[in-house]
Amino acid sequence: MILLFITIIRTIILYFLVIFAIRIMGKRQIGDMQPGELVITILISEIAAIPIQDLHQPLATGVIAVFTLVFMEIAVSVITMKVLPLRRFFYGDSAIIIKDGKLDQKALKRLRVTGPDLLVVLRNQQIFDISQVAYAILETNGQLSVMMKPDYQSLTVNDLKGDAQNSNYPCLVISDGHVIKSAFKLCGHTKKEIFNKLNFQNIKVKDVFLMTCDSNMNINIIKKDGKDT
Amino acid sequence: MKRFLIATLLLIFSFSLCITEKVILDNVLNEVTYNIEKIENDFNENKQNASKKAAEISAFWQQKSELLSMFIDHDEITSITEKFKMLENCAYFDHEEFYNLISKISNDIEELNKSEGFSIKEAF
Repeated sequence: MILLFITIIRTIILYFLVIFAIRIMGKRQIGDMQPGELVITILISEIAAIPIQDLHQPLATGVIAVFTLVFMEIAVSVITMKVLPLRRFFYGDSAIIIKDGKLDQKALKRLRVTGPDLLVVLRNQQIFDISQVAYAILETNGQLSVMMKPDYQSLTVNDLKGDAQNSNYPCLVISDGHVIKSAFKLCGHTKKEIFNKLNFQNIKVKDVFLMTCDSNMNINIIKKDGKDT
Repeated sequence: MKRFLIATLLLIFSFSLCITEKVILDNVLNEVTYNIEKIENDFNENKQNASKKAAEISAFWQQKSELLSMFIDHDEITSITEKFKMLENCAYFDHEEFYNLISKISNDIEELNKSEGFSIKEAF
């Protein structure tokens, strides 16, 4: 009887602890999580389960382990926001696996994705023909983002106005004031060209929160908050 | 940044808990070790006094064991608590068992001290 009561009390305490830990780490859907985040979430629930199952274990061991994991997760996410190479190390890079209807087999091999697997994901997005795809990008969370060729895209108001242009994949060239060198090759422009665009608008790199650029040199700049003037 | 602050506070709380455990455990174990040695010395001279001392130290351990069980495996604490209770009972009747229990308790306390102390070996 007493053991049952102890189990109930411990379970209630650990329930709130796990909810608190998950809330502190940030509300996200499982599908949006990076693999590391998913592992940490599972690990937290596993650790919390130990003091519930083993009543001889002090509650503090579970609490300390959960708090330490929460701290590490948040510390890493804060650091990776500022340091791009670390972000790449922890979460990896998105990879283009279809470009202009052509499959990048090397990228598929590197990512250990088989052709049938890719076709399944594409079919789930109502795409049955790879040649209709302008870009397919495997995101770091494992999801596949697909951009169709203009001929196969849904009709928009812009199309009706007759402003339809060839769609190009807008590459992220500056993130939070950091220049992403690998993006220059993707968008087909040099660093100098991009910087000239910035200079033309009298914007400094460190003031840019996000900047995307496509192969037609269409750029989109979002300045950091408070840098609008 | 707010999340990071909360996470840092949680880490500080965790470290404080570890330090608190170390301080409490050191105090309790030092007290118990000192008294056990005293009981062992007293036993040959004054058995009644030794028995009284054993009861005192047993009561002290039981009082502190609730606090210690917040940090330490409950089995280890229960095992020492049971030995203390046996020690109280056998002080008058069974001298050999008394010495035996004293020795076992000392060993357990030493083991506890070792297992709860920080060492690189334990960490890995």
